[in-house]
Amino acid sequence: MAVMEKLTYVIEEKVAPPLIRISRNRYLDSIQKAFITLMPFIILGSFFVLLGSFPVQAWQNLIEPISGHLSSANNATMGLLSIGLATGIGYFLSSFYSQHGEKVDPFSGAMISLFSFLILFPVGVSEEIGTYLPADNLGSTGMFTAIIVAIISTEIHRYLIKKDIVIKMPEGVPPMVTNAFTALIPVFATMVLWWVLRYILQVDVAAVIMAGFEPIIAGGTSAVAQFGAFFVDRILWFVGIHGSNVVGSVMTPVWIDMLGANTAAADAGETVPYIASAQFMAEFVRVSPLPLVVLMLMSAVKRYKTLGKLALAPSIFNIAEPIMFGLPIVLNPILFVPWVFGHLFLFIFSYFIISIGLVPAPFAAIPFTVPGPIAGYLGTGGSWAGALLATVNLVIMFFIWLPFYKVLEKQTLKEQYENEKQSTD
Amino acid sequence: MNILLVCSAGMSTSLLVTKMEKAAEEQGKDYKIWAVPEAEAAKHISNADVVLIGPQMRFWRKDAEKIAQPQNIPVDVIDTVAYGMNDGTAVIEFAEKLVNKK
Repeated sequence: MAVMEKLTYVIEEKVAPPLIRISRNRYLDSIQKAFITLMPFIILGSFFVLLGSFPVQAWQNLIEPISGHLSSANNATMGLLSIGLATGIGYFLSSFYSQHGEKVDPFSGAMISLFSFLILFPVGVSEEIGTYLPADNLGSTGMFTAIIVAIISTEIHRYLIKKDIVIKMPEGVPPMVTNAFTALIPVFATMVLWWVLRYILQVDVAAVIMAGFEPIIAGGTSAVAQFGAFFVDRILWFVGIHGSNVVGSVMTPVWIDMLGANTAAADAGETVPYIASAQFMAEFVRVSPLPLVVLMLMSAVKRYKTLGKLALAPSIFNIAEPIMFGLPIVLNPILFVPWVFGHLFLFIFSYFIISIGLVPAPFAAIPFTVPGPIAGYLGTGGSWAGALLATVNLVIMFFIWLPFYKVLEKQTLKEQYENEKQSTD
Repeated sequence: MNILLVCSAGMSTSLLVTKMEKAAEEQGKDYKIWAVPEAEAAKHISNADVVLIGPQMRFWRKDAEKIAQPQNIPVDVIDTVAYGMNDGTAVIEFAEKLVNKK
């Protein structure tokens, strides 16, 4: 066990702290909070694409009159996501500063970021539809532009307020009026900056930022990078840290980029480009601890049985904390191997099954609390093969847990027996 | 007393809320207990008398303290065993101890 102790020490003391420090970075934190706020809209978009692509003929006939309009809900959410993202980052980053004692108004910050982002996209005029805003890069492709522009604009806003470069009103002027004037200089400073860049210097800011991030996206969306990120996720959970939350603070933009491409392809009836997406992970790889709960329900150890009953309902809905901390899996050397390598095996296995075409690649974002097989069915656009793979993965996980769990159970029973013997002696 | 629980999505702590409410009711205590995701927690802190964090989010503690300490609101991480076993009574007791200590 000395090796396990050393490993635990290394994860807890050396690996986790720098990762946590990165995820606590105020910019990454604001980005993540903005995405969390946008999640219901993303799920709504996925839901409508799902309705439109459901592979049942009777259903297709039924929705025929409105089938052309189902994508509109996705176009207005996922397709305009970057607008929401710029606004959200402006809001949460300003909130961060205002919570830390600075006088930055979060709503003004949100508005400044929103319009700083929008000014980068020249409004066009067409005879048919009148004036329009080209939406090509307002969805997931404009994400990095939204991130960079929102951060820069918020920082300028904050700097000007910090240095007190604002229009001051004499005392006695109503606060509403004062606030409107306070925002005037920051609004001018940020908007004029982006306007000059875009229209006077003719820099296509969005294109420049997108090109700059291209290598990162290309690297980040690869199955190898996703595998590595998932490994870190499992390792962090092993020491009792919310791995998905920490990893997500860095990976979410990449995940949303993949999701955007996947949903758009599914909506157009094309092949889903990314297999190892966040949806793949949620629907097939990050399976619930339900198999372990089943083992615990049959256990001779009273504590395990009680916990199994308690954790049954939460586990069905993919809430793992009672098992993680109650059994526990956290810092339990016996369960390290199945927890980390069992899930990594599911990653490779599911990737293989999908890449040879036995199961369609998932494309729809489903709330994480939807039980595995249902999520597998819906996520793949209503494929029974998807539901089957999610179920098979639970069974595989059962057999991966089994031998390790038996060792744990035996050890606990032995301890129980010795304790009882001691107390009767 | 107002007890705020915080975890990643507010899901696993909401399990605990039900158990804590039950425990408080049995003891005849009229406590307000609620769970929120970390992303929304900042604006809830000032309404709480005590902030309890799920152990998997323990790295959020310093951020929470920065907001809570100036308002003299205690912040702590819930014990892993009490959390895993969903022990409402133990967590209520823990919250009371934190509030009485300040």
